[in-house]
Amino acid sequence: MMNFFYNLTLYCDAPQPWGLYFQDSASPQMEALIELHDNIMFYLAIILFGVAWIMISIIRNYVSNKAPISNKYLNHGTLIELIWTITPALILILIAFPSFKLLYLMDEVTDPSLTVFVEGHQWYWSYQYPDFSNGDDEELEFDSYLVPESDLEEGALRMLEVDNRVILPELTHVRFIISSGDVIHSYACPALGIKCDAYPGRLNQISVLINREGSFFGQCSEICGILHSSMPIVIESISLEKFLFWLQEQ
Amino acid sequence: MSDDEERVTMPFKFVTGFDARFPNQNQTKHCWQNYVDYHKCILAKGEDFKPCRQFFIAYRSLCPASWTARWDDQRDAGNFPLRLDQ
Amino acid sequence: MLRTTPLLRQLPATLQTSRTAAASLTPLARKQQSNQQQVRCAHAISNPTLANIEKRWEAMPPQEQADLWMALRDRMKVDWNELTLQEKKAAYWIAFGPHGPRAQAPPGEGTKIFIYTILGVVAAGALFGFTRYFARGSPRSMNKEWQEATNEYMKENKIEPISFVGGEDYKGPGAVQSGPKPKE
Repeated sequence: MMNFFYNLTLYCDAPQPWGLYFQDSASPQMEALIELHDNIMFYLAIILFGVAWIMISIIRNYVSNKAPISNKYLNHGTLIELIWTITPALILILIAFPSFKLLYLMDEVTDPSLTVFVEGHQWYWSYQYPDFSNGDDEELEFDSYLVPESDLEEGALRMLEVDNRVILPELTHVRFIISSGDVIHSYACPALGIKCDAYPGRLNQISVLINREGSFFGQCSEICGILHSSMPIVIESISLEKFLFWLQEQ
Repeated sequence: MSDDEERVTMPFKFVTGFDARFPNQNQTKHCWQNYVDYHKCILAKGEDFKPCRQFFIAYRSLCPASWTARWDDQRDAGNFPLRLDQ
Repeated sequence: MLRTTPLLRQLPATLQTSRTAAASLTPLARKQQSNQQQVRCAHAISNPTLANIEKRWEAMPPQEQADLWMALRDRMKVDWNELTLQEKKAAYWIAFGPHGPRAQAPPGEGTKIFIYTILGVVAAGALFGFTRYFARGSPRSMNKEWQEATNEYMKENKIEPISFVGGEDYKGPGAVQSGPKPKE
């Protein structure tokens, strides 16, 4: 009963308990995003220390018992106003350069080798692989539901495991076409650096190249109803041969 | 299943390729356009016309099955929102 | 009241040394001097008016405070070296002294603030504890055995290999953050 002190929160978005930083990247765009983040953090640190220093100096030097006479008539100060307008503008420009560069790079269309079609529903994802179909015009499609806690094997990640994972080959340009069947959802996988909203009636395209084998977890990122927290995404990337083998089994 | 093997032995097949008319994230019109172009192409040139196949592959990979099924139904019922014979 | 008391003429600094000295001028002399220089309002304010201004200020009615301040302000329009020491002190005290908006906190204020803050925190904690008392228990996966199994699972599936358990060289608790499973 008295376990409210022990109920530490497991932040399900990062498989690390209490993880604060990004998950390990598995695609070049995620690596670029992490680098941009670190770049901007440099400017933020400068601003943080500068502003903190100014504030502490003002508080220490102008406290009322040290400087009791207040100047009520200070109205202008053109030089300092110029400085504190131009300096943030310059800092913003410095931040903007790598940011826009990455933005346009990510928007660049690559010729994808594989298309995966993702449709969000309340409260599961359904996937289709439209490039592959057997002779009967049957497509490869499946739904992906959360594994409830009672069905979890020991050691599995709670609230992140699904019954059918998205299997993709590594080192292949994959295009996700994301849509929705009912309300807005958002398809997010932080390790791959993708997050794309799913709107009914609209097809959003996002492309990914997965660098390494492994499983990558993500969650629905747009509130969609009561089970919005129970719509995880698991993308598993395997080598090309194993992928072809898996395809044949379907 | 033989259909599977033939396709997948080409590792870097270009599924839809880049269409300069739809460079951005929103591919809704891209899907629609390919569907419409394919059916116009078939109506104009006949089903066996090889270049129509390109539109077919494009819309097969780009459009959700439910959308294409709905449009097929609309075409059959005569409700399709566009005149395909022009 | 102030307007009816005769205003002293500005006396040379050598003559004005103590509070009692100003009172020694006869009423006639004061009247004569004030008649001569009516143009400029540079009349020294009398010492009795200013005596103990620090103690008396709070008790003075607002109209009297306003009048005294007006008089002092008029005095300050001339070269300040001509002001008497009492006037300078009074002017400074009224403008910048610890009264009104600049009043210092009463003693014990800091302790009072601290105590009430702690009481607020305790009340919030009590409310929190009360609601958590009726909460469902922690999930099935928050115990050491499960989390060690999670570490194994991550190693096998190569999840987070670069900086966390999935890789080979990771030394550390990994996903383990809870105590062992309680005995059934």
